[in-house]
Amino acid sequence: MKSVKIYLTYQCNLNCDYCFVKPSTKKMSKEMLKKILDWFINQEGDEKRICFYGGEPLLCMDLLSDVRSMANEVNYSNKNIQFSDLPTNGILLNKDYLEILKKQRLELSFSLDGDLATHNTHRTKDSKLFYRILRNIELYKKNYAFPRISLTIHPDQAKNFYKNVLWLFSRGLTRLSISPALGQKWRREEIDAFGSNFSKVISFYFKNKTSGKNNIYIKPIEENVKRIIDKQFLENPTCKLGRELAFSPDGDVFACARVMHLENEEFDKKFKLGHIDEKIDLDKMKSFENYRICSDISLDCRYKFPAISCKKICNCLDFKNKKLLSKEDAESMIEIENMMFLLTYKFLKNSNRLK
Amino acid sequence: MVVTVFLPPSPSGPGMIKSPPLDIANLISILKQEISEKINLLDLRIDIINNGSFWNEKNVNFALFNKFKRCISHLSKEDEEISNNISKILNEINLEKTDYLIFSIAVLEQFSLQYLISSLCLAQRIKDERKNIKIIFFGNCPEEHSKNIIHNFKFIDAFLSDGNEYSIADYVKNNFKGVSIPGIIYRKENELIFTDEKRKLDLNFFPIPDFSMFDLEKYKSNNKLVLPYELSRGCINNCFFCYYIHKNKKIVFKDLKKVIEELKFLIKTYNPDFFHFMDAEINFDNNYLKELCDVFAKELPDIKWSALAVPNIGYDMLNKLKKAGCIQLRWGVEYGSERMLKIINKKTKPDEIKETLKNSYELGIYNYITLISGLDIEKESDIEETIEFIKEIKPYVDSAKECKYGELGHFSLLRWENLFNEENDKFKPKNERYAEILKKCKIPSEDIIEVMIKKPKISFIINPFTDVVAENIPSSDILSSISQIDDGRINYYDFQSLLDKNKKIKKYMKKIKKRDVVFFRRFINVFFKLIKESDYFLFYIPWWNENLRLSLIQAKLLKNKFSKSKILFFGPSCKLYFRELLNKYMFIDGILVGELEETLKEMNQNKNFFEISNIAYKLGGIHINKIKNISFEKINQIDYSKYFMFLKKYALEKPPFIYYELSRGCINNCFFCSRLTSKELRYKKSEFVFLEIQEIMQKFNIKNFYFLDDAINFNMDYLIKFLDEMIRLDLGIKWSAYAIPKNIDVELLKKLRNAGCVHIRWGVESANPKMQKRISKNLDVNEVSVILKQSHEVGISNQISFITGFPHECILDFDLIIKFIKENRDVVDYINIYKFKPRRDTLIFENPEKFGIKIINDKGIKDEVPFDEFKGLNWEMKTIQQDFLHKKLTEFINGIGILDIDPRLAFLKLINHIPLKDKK
Repeated sequence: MKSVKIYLTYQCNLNCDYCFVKPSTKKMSKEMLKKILDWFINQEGDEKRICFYGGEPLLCMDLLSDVRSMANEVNYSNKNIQFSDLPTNGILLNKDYLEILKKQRLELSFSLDGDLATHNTHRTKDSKLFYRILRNIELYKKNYAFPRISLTIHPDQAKNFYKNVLWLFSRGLTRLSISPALGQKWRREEIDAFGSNFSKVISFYFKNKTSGKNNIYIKPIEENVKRIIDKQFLENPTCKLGRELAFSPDGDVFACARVMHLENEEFDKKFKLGHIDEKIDLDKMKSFENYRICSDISLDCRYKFPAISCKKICNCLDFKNKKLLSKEDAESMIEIENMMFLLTYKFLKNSNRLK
Repeated sequence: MVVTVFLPPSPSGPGMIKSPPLDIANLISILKQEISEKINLLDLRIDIINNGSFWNEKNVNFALFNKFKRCISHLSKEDEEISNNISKILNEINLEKTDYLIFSIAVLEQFSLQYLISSLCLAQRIKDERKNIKIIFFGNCPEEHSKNIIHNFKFIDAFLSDGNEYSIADYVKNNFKGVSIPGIIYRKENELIFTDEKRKLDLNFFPIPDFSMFDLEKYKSNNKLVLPYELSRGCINNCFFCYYIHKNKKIVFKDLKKVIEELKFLIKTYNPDFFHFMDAEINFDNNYLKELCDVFAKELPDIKWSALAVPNIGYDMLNKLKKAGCIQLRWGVEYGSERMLKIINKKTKPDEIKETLKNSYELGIYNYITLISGLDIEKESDIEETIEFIKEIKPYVDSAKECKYGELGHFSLLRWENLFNEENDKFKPKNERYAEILKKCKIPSEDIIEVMIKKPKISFIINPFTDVVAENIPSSDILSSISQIDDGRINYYDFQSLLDKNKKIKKYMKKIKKRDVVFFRRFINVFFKLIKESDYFLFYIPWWNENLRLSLIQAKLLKNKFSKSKILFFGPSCKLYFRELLNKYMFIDGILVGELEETLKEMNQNKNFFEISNIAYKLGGIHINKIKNISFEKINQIDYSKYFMFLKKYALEKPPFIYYELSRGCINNCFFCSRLTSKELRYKKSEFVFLEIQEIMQKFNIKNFYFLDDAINFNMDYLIKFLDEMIRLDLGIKWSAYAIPKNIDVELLKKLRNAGCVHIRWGVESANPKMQKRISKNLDVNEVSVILKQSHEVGISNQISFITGFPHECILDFDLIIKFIKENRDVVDYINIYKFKPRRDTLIFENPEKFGIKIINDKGIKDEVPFDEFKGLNWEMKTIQQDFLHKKLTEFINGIGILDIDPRLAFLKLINHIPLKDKK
């Protein structure tokens, strides 16, 4: 097992309307974190990647300020431990926090959906906060590292997202991660708008990339390109179902870091693997390696190949209603996922980049 | 009183063809109708035509009758040798009760000098010995000559002078009265009685020709009977050099109603294969001919005939002739010089002749042409022009005959005049003028019937391919087909074996590993070194990608070299793409679209190419002939000798195993299956099976058999009987078969093993129960696992196959195959992963929407048809999916140490080490 996702807290200083994280103020204790790190680092495998999640992880600076020494303390076999970018809304970042993060060698990924109008549609109504985020990103960039930006595309903003990418690039923010908002109902015109905007983003990306500009990265385009060139068609490598665990702040263990927020008894039971203080069922975890969403939801599946969304149960979750999305809505989510891949493939092919 | 019609023996010579003479059949029929006397037929000619041994055993020297001057001298002063010869002949016939002896002196309705000479010699002796016998000469000899001959040879009592058979009957009825009889010159005491009064010829009053007195079996060639018939009599032309008795006369036609009635009667009575219309030319009257074609097409749709014609028939009329059953025309081309054509008043021009021959050829009518040389009036330039003309018409001519003036048929009267009037035989046979160019153009000089009934030379070409078993294993359907014909002129060229196993060729090709330009060039050198001219070249294309390109190159070169040979392609994919192939490659004459056996049979029977069953061809548009499948009930035993002769000829080793089929056809309905052979399930007679297997073992010492049946367990009763007999015979053979893993228990598996089965190919195709239903295979994968386990336990090696990339297949199918293989790893020896190929002529192609796909862009000559899935993958993604899954599965199989090899290679490996019988 190479990686683990650890929810330090479910608490957040924002209340974004598309957020899937369960509403709770639960926060992980230091002991719990240490226990989890001890358990995980000492599982088989020399390479260990730890991803901290929230809520807003910067609300847990007490845990983060000591995380590397905590990990080193239990790293009896001198394994290679890496920490993934911390996803943050960036509001709480300040110079002190930045120093701590630098010391712990923890980097950030800022959630920013685009310009003021877009960002504030679903995240915060306060324009001051938006500018504060921009200032903090600037601070981070100037004093620490090149920031990565996560754009969550809500259906009603699908039509604007190319414009927002251009806006971010104009501000020098050229390392982006684009994800459609989970658990939403996408209408046909929104899906189509997403597709046409994504096509423009692809062209824009390649235009900039081939012009030799540095520090350009757009997820999932870059990953899809690699997958297409390497002919990795079976599943989405970002979905580590069956190969990764997710810990809740109170030590519960799940096979999927997103299903755990559904608050559905049946799915909790299905995906829960145990508790850090009790047994963690790794065989059960592995059994999800061949999991297919069609075993839980009946679909008119159009995307049998590449099989990049076959495992992604997250595309079918209706967090608001604590159940699975309707067949049609789940199919829309899957369509968007595959659309991003297929449009990238089409672009590569039409521009003779495939041999 | 007895009337004997006599066909005297004479050396084989020009114009002698294997067909009962029509004038004799007419005469017999009229005599039977007109007189009450008993009629006999003495046919001493047929044994000579058949090159029989009868006269050789009697030491008769027929060559003497070709010494014309000596024979004529003998008639006035006895020649002992000739006299002995005559005695030997007459010893063999009984004329005791004969009162009238009618000598036939014609061949093919034309006067024959040879028969006149032999008849004179025999008649003289007969008359000497039996004064009372009336000697009548019968044949198309012009009146002036008849008078002359009867005047000079007193032993002749009567001579037909108008070519009308009724005149003979009239003579037999009335000669004793001493009155003049139209059409007959006869002797009454020392006086010749004749009249200028003409007998009216009306063919509509003629009875139906009577062939019943001929031994028609002897007149058959290659078991085919050609009957002569006339639609009309007479010739409107008046060629100055011609001695034809009916020349310059009004044509007398038979009513078409009578023609149809008579032909129907002749067909019913004698069952002939062909008719040859004896008319001087069939196209005297276009209206009559048009009506004839219409009525033939309606009343006699199966009749096949040939005729003589003047080469000035247009395409439409030729097309009508073709549809009316015309398979061959004998064209009086005569000269390619416009000057000579004018002089002989042929009413044709070279360009017109060429156009006619071309049209006729393209319509699939055999062209037999006659050429004349030796007329006094012809110049060297006329011959040269004719030679040039032959070069031009060469592609359209099947056979040609040069008639040297003075030698053949009624022309030979010229020689008779010379012989009879001069003291010495001054006639000097002229040199053939066209022989050289005809030889150069590879135009044979076979006579009409020979052209129609000769057995064609048929060459099978099996080209080298890659990735499959490189052993000298003969193709089973080719061998089976060859075995169905009697004594065919078959050449078998298996270049796969030659390249791999013949030391000389191997050495020549050895440095070339890739299929590059050098390979192709060298291979073509080898090919043309070995290949002989044939009427048919049949290219076998079992593997589309590997065979097609090379075969196209060879076929094109072959067609250039042998323009008259027919090129045929056959193989499963050829059948699917026959339209494209025929449209794109003009050098391909036909594509086999059914089973080979019936096609080969008809080819060997010399059936018109355009009528041979199971063939698609291009003539204007694309046409498909009748589909005929072989009946396994009537199938002959497979004759392996031709194949082993091929091996011996090229010093090749015997193959390690033989392909064999107990049955042909399939009861399953898999939507992806397309086949060259018929789907109807047919079984070979058990007694043949055991005889063939034992013959292969004993004659060729081969003990390994690879059964090609679609499944050995379609018919359990047949299978069990077969296994029981194999166990009883205990032949010690090893075999491999394909089977369906369904309803097979351990007892049957044990039986299979004890009967020599060491390897079973199981077509599992999918491990997903839903997909099993969708592809109509309906296997239960759990049952398959049990059968594989039991089969393994009894000592049979299991080879299973899967297909990836079915329509709407998804990752689940892939997962399930992996799961199945993991679970059955220990009992499976070989696994083949194939990619689903949507093909024409399959259920899914016929009903794509039923299977959730839409066929797109079905235009290319590829071994698959592109499709899009409804609400699924487009073709581009589908092909990527297929390639990807195939690669992944193959990697997985190789990763766990299972071989993905051709089943034949697997069997080959097995036969070398698996024990004959299971010890368990």
